[in-house]
Amino acid sequence: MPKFVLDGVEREVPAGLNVIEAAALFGTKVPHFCWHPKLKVSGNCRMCLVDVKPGPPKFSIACNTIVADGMTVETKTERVMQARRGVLEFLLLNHPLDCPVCDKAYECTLQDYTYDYGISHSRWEAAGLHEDKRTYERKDFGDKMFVEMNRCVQCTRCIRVLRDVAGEYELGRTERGHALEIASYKDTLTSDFQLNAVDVCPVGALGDKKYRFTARVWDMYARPSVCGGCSIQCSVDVWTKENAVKRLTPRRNDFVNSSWMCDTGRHGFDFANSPDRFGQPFVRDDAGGHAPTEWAKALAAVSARLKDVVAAHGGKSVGLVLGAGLTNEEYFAASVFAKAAGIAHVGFVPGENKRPYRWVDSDVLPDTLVSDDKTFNTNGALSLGVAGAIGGKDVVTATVEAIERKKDGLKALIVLGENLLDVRRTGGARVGPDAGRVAKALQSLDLLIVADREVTATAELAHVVLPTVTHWEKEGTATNWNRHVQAFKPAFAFEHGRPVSELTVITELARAINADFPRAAPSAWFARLAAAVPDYAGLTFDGLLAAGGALGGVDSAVNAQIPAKSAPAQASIGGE
Amino acid sequence: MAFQPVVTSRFAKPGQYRMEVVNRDVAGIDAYVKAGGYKIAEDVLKNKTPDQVIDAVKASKLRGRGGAGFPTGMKWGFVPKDGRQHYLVINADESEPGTFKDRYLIEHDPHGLIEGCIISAYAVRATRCYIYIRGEYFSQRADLDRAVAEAYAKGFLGKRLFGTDFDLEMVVYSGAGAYICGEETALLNSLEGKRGEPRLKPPFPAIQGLYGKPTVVNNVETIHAVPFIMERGGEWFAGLGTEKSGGTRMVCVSGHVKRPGVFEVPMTLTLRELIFDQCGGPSRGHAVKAVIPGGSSAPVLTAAELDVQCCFDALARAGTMGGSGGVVVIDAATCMVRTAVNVMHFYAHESCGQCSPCREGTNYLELLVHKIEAGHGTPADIDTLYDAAGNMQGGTTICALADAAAMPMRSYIEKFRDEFVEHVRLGRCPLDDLRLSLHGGWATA
Repeated sequence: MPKFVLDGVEREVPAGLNVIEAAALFGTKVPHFCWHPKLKVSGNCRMCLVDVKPGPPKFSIACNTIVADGMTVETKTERVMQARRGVLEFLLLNHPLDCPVCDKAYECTLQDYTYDYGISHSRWEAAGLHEDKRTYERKDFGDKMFVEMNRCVQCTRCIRVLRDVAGEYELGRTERGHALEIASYKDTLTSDFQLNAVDVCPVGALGDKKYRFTARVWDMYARPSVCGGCSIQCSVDVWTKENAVKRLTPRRNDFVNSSWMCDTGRHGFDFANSPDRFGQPFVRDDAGGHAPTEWAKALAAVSARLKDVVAAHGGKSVGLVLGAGLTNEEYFAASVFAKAAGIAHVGFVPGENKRPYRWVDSDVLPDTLVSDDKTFNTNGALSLGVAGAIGGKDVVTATVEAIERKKDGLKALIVLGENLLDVRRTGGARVGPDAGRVAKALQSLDLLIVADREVTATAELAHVVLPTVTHWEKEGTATNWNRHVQAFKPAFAFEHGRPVSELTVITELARAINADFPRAAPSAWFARLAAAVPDYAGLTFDGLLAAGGALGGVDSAVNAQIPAKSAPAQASIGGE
Repeated sequence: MAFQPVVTSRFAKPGQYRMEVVNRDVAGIDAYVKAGGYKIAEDVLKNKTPDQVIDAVKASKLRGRGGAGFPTGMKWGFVPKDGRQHYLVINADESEPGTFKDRYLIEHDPHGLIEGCIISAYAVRATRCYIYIRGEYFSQRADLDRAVAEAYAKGFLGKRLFGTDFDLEMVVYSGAGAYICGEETALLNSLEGKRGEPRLKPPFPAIQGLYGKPTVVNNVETIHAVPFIMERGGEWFAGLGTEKSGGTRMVCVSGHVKRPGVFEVPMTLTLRELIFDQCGGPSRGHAVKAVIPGGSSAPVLTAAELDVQCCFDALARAGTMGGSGGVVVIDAATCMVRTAVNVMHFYAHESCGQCSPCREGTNYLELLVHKIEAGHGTPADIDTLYDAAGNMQGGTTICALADAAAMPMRSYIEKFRDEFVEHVRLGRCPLDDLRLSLHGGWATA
């Protein structure tokens, strides 16, 4: 643990940290553009200049100086401040005053540093040189990434992200000197990870075309959750303005997605704002159509009818099909409900649960940032004992056959978050018999209860349709392909009507049959499942909020075979 | 005793400072061998250890002749003795404005360079040597290629030199017109096929250089001295020079002098002696006004400051640098602001663009000084120019190109501030009328 003097105070830090990281441990910010904890050191922005002794009388860059025993570092002297002012002036010489129209405002490091360290007037402008600001020809990098290279400060983070994280060396430096331009030899960037470059760009040179001009940063809330696009479950921040999701950004989680996410996942939030979402229950009326019904009445109706079926034919005449996107608490509660009610036919259609990957080099590869398994929580369901097949057949086929069976068949079916007429898994492959047969079977039921976000084809056939929320509106946990569990709290609340979580639906249906079934918060359900399921022993809901934890009591780093710390910062020996 | 040149001794006329080529045969291997060539290398490989060579070079007080003046023996001593592949790289990029000495060494004594490479590679345990020559030196590249082929043919390069177990492969590689590739780490990047952009230091090339391996990069003239040092001893070489700087130096004189040229001089020769005695003084009938003593990166000296010796340390004490030995003489009919424009334009053009102060600063300096020169400047512009240059020095950048632009720019303002002020006051160059009357137009500076 090296001891060093930081701004006159002796400090001790873990070995291997650079001056930026070490200073941050004590609340000292060393400004920087090009350094990023997950990328190789570039050292070209020169914003992090500090004085380091022992060493030459010249400045050193904090990002490339590893703290050593006996070092003295000065980050706050007038000399250092003058250097920062100098660098900022140089960067602002050719930077367009686009702030009023630039998306990056409020999260722009150039803005922030100019406010903290810069001068308020421009000598370039005073010298009458503002007509001579460098401009580049307008370029377009494709459908996803917005480009305004006039704002670029040539920090090369984008180049390094694409090269080292996405593995696609699509951007590079071209030309030389002040004509230097970050450009591509391709007409369009093809990588499915290119928008990570937008995250790391310290200014508004790179942007997300989908997000552009849809919100100002200060109008949004950013709340932590997880992406639901596939079984990787990248940690994200969900940015909402007036309870509509405006964008997702990756949240750093060294056990899951490092600091990155794929573009498909990043853009995959339209379902949360979809005008097809509905907010109140529908109950089939005598005319055969669906009438909107308030919750109390709908629940009363569905409870009564469910009780009737159970009374007449027993719990074994009820089937429970769960979607693959529910939370762990919901899977567990469903199992408890089924057991208590004597429901034997319980299952879900799993995605292809891939075996854990070995993490290579020191950062994430595209293989481990996106999975072909587009279900959200297959591994959660499997780890909690939800059946992925019934009688050796997929759950759709098994359910249809169980309905068609004359003797001891299913009379009622509860479907939570799945459109049985069109179940698709890995590669878009359809699961189950043809839609016509499935529909016929569902129509023959005495009672079909469907809970979903939108009125799907299955919901159209239901006697009662209940509106549910996305996982971003729930409290809960989910388990990814790598047996890593993350907890999350609601990131926003849908404003139209009152959709509820599947947990609420399960609870109310359970209470129709068994009044003792508890109404409990998801965190309480988690405590219960952690006590009941050995793999989840020792995990607590609150403990899983920050970065999650691993199943089976194994340290996540070992489980996932990744280093727990971020990538070692090593200088890139040139050639960007 | 008359002066005896060292590094030019095989082909230049003895007994004088001016390099006058009198032996054109020794560039070919037969004459070179006949004159005793490659014998020193053979003796070193057979009878000396690498460390003995390093010790001799340390004792010689040889300092790098490329511009930085770093003690060569000390640099060689940094190379780890680790059994890994090591490289020797010869920097023949010679792009510092005002410098043209290495060119003649390559043209007239390429085998001297090769022999120096053999001994130097042996000392630093390198088995591969690359010569990086600037792309513009087309005919010199051909000279070098021919000499290397001749050396291979005679077994002076390749496997088991002189029957020892020391191998040395040599590759000649041409640059493509970038001054920045004279910076050693940018040179290494260029050699590796990447953009010619300097790397962060530390780590230094001696530890992590070409392809990440320990590499020594030295200037042509520096390596030329090595066989002489091994032949006659480090102490002899040190004795030729001054307290901390051994040997002789090559300097090039250009500009407004009657007889420009390349010279090999003792470190004790003063600039005044060089310019007036050797070069005949100013050529156009105007007094000498300013002298750039070591390539355009060196701060300028006024005519009153010329009694300084050509030694690295003396010039450093005088607030400038020995640099690459490119001496440019400027007379009183020349506008220093326009000179500054010319120099700043060079650095702005040659900046690689990696780091903020240099990429933006060299452009800033060029635009500001151009504005002043064109007569549109304000007094504040002079201060801005001076201050902005100050933010480009002292470790604020990845390499010294920014310092190389900023230091001279500041020196022009410090020593010739009145010319800048006059441009601002008059709204034009104060020498316009003089230039028009003398030369009938704008053609000359």
